[in-house]
Amino acid sequence: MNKLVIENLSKTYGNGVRSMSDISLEIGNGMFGLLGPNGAGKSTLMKTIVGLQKPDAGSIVFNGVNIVEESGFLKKQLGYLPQDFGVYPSLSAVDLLDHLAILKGISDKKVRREQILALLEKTNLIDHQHQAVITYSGGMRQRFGVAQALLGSPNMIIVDEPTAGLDPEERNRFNNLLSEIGENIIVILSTHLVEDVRNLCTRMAIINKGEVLLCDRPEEAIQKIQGKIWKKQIDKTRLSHYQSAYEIISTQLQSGQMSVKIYSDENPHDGFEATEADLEAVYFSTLIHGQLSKFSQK
Amino acid sequence: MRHLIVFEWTFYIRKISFYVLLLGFLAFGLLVGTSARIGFPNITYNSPYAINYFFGLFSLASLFPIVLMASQSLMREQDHRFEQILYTTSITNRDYFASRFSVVFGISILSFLLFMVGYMMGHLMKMDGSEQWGVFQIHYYFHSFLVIVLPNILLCTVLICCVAWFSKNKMLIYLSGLGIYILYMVFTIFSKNPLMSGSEPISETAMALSAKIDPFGMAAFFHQTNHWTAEQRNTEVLHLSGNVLFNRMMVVGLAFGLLILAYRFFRFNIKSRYKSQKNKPVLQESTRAFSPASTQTSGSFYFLSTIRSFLKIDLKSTIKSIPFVLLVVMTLFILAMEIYGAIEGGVRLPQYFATTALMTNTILATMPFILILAMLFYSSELVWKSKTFNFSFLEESTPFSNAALLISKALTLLVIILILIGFCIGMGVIFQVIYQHPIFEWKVYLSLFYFVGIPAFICSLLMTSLQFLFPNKYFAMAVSGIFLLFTNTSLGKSFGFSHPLTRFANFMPDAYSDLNGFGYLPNAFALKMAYAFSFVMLLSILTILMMNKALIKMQWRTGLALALPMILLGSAGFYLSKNYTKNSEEAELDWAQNYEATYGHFKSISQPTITDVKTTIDLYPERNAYHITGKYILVNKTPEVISEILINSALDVSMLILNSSDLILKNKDEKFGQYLFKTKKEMLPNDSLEINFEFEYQITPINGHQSFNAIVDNGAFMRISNYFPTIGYQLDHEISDEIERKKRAMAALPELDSVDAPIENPYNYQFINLNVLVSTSADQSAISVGELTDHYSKNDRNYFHFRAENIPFRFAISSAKYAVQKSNYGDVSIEIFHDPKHHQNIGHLIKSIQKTLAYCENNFGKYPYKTIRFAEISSFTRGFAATAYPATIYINEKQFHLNLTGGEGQDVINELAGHELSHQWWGNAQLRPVFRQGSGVLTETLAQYTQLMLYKNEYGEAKMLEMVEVYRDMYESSKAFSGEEALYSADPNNANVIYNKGLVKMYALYLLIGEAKINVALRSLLEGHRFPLGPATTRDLLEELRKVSRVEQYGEVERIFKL
Repeated sequence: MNKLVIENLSKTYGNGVRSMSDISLEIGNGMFGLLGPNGAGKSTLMKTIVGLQKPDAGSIVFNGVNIVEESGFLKKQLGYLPQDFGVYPSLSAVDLLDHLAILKGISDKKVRREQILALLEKTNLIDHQHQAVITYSGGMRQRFGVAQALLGSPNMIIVDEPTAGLDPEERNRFNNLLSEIGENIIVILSTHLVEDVRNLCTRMAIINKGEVLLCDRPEEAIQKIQGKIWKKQIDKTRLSHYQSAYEIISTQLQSGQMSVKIYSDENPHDGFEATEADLEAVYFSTLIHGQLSKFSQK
Repeated sequence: MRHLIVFEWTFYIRKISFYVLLLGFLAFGLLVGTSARIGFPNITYNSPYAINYFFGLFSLASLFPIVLMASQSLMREQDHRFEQILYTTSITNRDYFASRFSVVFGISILSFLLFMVGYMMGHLMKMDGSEQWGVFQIHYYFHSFLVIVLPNILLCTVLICCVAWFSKNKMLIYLSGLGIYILYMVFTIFSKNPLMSGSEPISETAMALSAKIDPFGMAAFFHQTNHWTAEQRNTEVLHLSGNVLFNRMMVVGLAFGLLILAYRFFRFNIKSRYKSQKNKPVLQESTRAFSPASTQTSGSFYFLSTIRSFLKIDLKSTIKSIPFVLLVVMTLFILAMEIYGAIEGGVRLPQYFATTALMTNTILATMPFILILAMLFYSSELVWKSKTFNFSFLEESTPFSNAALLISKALTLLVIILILIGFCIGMGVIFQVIYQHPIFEWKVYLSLFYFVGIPAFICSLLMTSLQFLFPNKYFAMAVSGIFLLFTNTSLGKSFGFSHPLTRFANFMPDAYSDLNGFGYLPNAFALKMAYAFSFVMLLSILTILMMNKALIKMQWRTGLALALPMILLGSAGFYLSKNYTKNSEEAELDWAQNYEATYGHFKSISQPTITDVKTTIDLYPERNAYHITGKYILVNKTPEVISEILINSALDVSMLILNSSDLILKNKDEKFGQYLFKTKKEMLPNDSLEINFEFEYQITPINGHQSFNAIVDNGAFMRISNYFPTIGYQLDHEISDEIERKKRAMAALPELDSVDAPIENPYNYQFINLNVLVSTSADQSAISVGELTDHYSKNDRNYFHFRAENIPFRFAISSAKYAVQKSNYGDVSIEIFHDPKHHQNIGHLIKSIQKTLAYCENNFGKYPYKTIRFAEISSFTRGFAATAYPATIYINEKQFHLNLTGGEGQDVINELAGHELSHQWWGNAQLRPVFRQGSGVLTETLAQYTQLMLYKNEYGEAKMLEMVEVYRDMYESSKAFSGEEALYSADPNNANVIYNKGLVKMYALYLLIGEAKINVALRSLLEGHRFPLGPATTRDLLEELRKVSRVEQYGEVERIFKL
């Protein structure tokens, strides 16, 4: 059983921005979702776990080893798909995958070749294997990134916004692939797409402005706010009135008509009807509560 | 647009590196302005000539900031993916274009102006009232800036910006900078650069053409000032006329033309990276099962395989790329030009044979600089590649070690180096085939991988480490560049970095000799490489530790890894410093000053003369050593009584024994090599005594060798009498440079004796009788002077016994694995000792010798010896084409490399034979003048005359006239540096006058009174003044010439010699 324990991780940039603020998480085998808006600190956290950045304070212990000090320990069993990456020009997918495979320690040439071809098939790049990766479209490049993250036999896979740039079909395949391998290893998936977390993850955390706002199993988090979500169709022009009166967690436009969802412990009446809580509601309400609690701290 | 320029400008003024760049140029200007070593003889440091020269040369340095800025300023959008935003604003082509260009151009100009300010400041600081400085005229500097520098920088900026705009590739930008430099080098070959030693005269047409099209204006500058006097060079700025005007206008026109063209064709395009997609294939079900693969991420196999993978990836993308192809093309281009220049020689010379030696030496001369520059760029691109392409996020999430990364980058550079060297060797082979000399010495070619590859690799390892060490790639490039500038170039040497401890990985010099190969040089080379390599190993290990952040807590294994190179560095450094005995120039001058102060009083004390020399010289060429024993007979030829004798021993050799049964050693001064003896019994006039001596010498590879003491493995040559003990005060130990003497507050040297200074009668020629027994290795022959009376083998060595009577105290030895060809002229035996490979010109040489003997015997007198020998010596002796001794003429192997069959150029062999052989009459033991004004005329000018007549008799008047024109041009070009003098009273050390002007004047004399009459005069001169009769002066020469001229010609004869 793999175990990743993050304790009190903090990092502040030179200009005063706190990208990680006292983050503590405990992650075991299975898919773990890291949900949060852009700029929340997800990528920073991932880069810190991987060893590309150093935290100012706190510790990360993977299977008993402090990987802040010994990043090499993790790298020997890691697959990583960063949010944004480039590739060397003039080199094909096979060239680059071979290179990365060697760096990951797949020493046997035959085994390496087998795995590379299997991965290229799985990511539907097999017909472009000899084409220079730098000429790939955005989606193809993302699939390449997925392929390289799965090289070797990693015990931890970290994927940062993996389905960005993929069309629904490709996204589906990717999700299937991940859940296939995600059973006996740690997979940390960061995204701002709630549905990905809902579909794939057994546990999740919501992060905003460098802080962990929530860490729970998705079903349980939904359960906790069951009965506290209310919905109403309103006049667009009266939005500001509702914003000041209630905790609006989302607004939606449908055929020109606006409907709002609010969070309220009790029935607000005023024309609102109760609605089923879903993970999206969990997400938005957590974010707002996180903001509110910030305000109240001031 | 003003906003755009201001915006660009803000980018720069925020960076520290910008100020460092500007400061660097200021400091560089200061350094050059205060350097005493960079100058021309007879020309003031702040003359327009010197300023033009150095401004032209250093305007090339502007290439550096231009390239840097172009690759940043003009690539900024692409680098940071801002293109799509910027190009879709309403910015116009014109604004974008003009703003970017003006900033790059403006900053380059600014940098050079700072250089100029530093240079001027340097001059102002260093100016004293001496003759080396003229009046400070600020308009000299500005004139040169406007005429030479501004157009140069304009053109370079335009060229590089065009490359940047249209290729959008950083590597190509760097290469275009290199390409411009290479263009400059090519034009240097075809223009007459007076500071390039050994540059042969170039044809007038080639010079005129270069003057018109050399984009840097230097050829035009040289062409216009070619025949200027020192006065002109010191005071006149370049005239804006002729080729100078044409050239500068052409350059400016070309620059603007290109700029306009570029502007026309410029488009706001983004390099499309995406190829069109073929039909998207239908999704298929996977047929392969995907399963995890086990990994092995520690141990040596992993380590090596990561190195191999990085190597493969880097080489694949580098070698396939356009910049690399361009680099190879440029390298081959400049090499081809250099080889062509080396083979064709100059307008005076015929072609040289296209031997492997020539190719090898050209490659050794050309490659290092190009390799260093190329590696400087590639090292930065390779090390930063991962970050530049954003691939580092993927790569760095794998557990490869930093050590493997550093090693792989260094190895990639090594492979690139080896590929480049391989191509160069290929070029050499091609030239050998084209010039029909297909004798390939593969071992020599292959040794280039060692002699060029190793230092190049060490330098690239240095650059790689520095790139990993510093977070900014341009900073690392600058540090590497400056470090190598001081420790690896001759420029660095002139700034004082000449001790071997301060030299880093210097390439093998272009000293390969057909006779001697590389001689002892590989030994010194290996040691120096070990020193540099251990230094760079230490640096790389420290760099890896820094990268691993493991510097503080070190394991014992790392300690050991550090200890090994440290020990090697320490021992190599210790050996170098202990065995390097060369003194700095300053120390040498101090020594000379102290010698004069200490022993000057001996000038006025009578000393005996050496009359007989009997010596045994044992040569050990394979050990680069010799051992000499001998004895002198000294005779008191003065009217005074002598009780003290000062004997001088050469510091270069180890004097083991110096004694006499008639003398008591009073003082031994090791520092100056002086032995002061007291006579046991006073030495009366005509008394004699004997002294014995024994000394030895060995070349130590670290110290190198002196050309005249070259006891090398094959083709050894020594002016051995220079190293024998000598009697009394040695005038040639004094500081002869008047400026230096003034600086040291020393009394000025006495003026050179005038033509009519009294000559004592009877005159003491100080001639000797020589009896020398030379021995050498069993496979070599030794050649000395005079007659060979005996030769035999004994104890596995060869012995040669030479004797000469009444010759000056001036004798030499050579030793080599000679082949010999013999002939004769009458009863004079002709012997040519040569390297077996160099047989091509022997027949022609023999014929030339026969004709010279015939001419000289018929016109001047009998050849005084029974034999005439020509002995070939290795090119490890530099400084002359040939040198004449009694009965023996030593000739440098380079003369045997000439291909006379082509019919090009002049018959240098004929010239040489004529000139050198005639010295057996004009000089040596026959006509030996007293050292004074005009005395050089009686030896060298008369030899030139003989050479001229022989040439005319062989090739006719037209060809003779060609020769005269060549020498006239040589005189005119150098007269500003040598000083103009009349032949009659010329300083015998003024080679330009007595050789070059001499030949031209003798031609004038020939036109005036004719060859026959001149020869009558010369014969008479010889008969009246040859040894043992009183020596001749130029007054005597003029008298003899008057005797054979008509009265109305007297005035003209006077003018020929006195103007």
